[in-house]
Amino acid sequence: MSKAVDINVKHVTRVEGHGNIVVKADDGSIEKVEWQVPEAPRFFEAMVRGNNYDDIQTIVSRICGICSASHSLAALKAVEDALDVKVSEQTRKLRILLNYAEQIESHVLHVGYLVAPDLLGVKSVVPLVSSHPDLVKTIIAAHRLGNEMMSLIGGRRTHPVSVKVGGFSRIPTESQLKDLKKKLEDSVPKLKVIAEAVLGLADKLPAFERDTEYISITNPDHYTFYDGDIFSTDIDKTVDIHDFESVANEYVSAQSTAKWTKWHRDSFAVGALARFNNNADQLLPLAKSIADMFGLKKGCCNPYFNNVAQIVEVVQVVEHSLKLIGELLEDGLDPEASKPPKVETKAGEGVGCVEAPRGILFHRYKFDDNGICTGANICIPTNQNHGNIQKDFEELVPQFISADKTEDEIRLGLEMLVRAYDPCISCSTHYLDVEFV
Amino acid sequence: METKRESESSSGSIIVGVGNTMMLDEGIGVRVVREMKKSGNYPSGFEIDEVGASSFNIIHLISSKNIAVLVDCAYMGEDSGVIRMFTPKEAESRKIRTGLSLHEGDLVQAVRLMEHTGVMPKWLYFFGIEPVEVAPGDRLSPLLDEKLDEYADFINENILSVIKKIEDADA
Repeated sequence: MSKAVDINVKHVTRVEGHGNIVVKADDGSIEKVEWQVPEAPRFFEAMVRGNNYDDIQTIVSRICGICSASHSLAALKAVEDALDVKVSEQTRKLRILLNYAEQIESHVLHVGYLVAPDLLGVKSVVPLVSSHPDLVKTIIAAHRLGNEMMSLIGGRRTHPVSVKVGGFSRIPTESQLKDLKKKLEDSVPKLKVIAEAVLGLADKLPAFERDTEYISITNPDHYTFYDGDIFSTDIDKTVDIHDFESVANEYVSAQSTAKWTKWHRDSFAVGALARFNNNADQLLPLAKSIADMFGLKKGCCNPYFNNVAQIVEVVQVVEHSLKLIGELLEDGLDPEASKPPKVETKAGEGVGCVEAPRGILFHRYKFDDNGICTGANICIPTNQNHGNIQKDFEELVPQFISADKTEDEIRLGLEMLVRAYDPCISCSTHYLDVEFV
Repeated sequence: METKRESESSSGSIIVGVGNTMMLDEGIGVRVVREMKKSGNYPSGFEIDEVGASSFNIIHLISSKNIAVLVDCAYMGEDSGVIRMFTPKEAESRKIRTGLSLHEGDLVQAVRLMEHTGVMPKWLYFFGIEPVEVAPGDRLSPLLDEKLDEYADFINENILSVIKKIEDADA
């Protein structure tokens, strides 16, 4: 291509965290290809120090407005690990449901709000209302279901308040769970509508593949989001979550204020496609049928298909939620079984891990004899994906230039790639910025 | 502003505080409605709720309401501390979004989405309050903090005035 390419996508709103895309090329020669993360440090690991063990969840849930349940659950599991607190099977199932509520909310919103406009060639979801009104209404309805589920189990729509160390301060009633079960059953046809709509546009997903290491948790019993060991497509045995630092290998990159990670290669990927690649054999029937519908198979190395994996996972978590709710109702809900126990504090250290919508999430905390936090290490999935986004860029940009793509086409392709990873860019502010007309 | 709805009939009325109370004046909307709830300084028959920065969560709260009132921090080009009431038709969002992540909430865009999907509240009003500072911190700037009662009175009076206008129009 005998022309200059100068792409500088800067996130210019006054939101605290963001990413920039920079490409400079001239006459086919690439000078610079960078995924930059100039996100402000937020100091949560420092904030929790000096706080009591039972305040940790409340604080760290505020790391994110979209993944607040995942942060809550990872924190609680880490605290319980440190203080030897065991939870009942009922509590475990309710927590899994809370995690699933978040997966539904996040995946549906991402696919509907950010990915669908790309596939349909529009700037945002708003123009889709005219062209695809039923699809947009279906997306909003599915998101609303996740919202209601979050509120029911977690006690609030965002930043759950009912989850406690060792249990719940309040659990749903049987009639509330029956009502939720009915809504989840009714959502299945709607989810199929979303899946079919995306399937009709799947040819718009770039045919880009790069051999990648995919990391997630795995569990021999089920397709897991809540409990398991660390697994990678590059290894044949699992790693205990307590050794997560040896997996993440966080390091500082000059182009990022967020730490990057690598394990067996220069980078790895986490998230829906990673979970799928590691655990697809355990999908429930309906979810498997959706994967088959898209031709999505284990070993897929096309990062754009993370969005397809998200659709498969929404169906998976709805399907498994129905199973879990059925079991809870059959066993009978017992508030005492989820009553937070009296905790004996002691010095110790614990690790908690869950799969957030965007990938594997690790929390580690240290406590003194009085249960006061003396140290923390939180490793979030978006940071684990930054290096992989960069490596994808490095392979993708030359392909785009060789294919004589225009600057706008390259920009869109790279923006779509970033979107495919569904980065959890800090949602600290939103403010209105208005001009009167 | 009245919007024709396609399917759902309007029901109930709500005042929602919007914002992040961990970012100084960004949380003014939430602080004001908490004050209104605590003092009972709001019209009877209204629910009071609060929500963070998720546009979609706001949609779920106010969809198809009869009267919905959103109280939020707003950059309006006014002096710090000024409160203004306006309708969606009177304002355009100036926010520039990259669309790279789900973390770019835009209330005005959310309202457009409600309009297009036919679930707009029958009557929707914004109360925007010009901030002094938006930065990490779990309190309000002194100027806004001192005006909480004043804001609550202003919102209450204006909603009562709106209700009267609606009743007169219906009579």
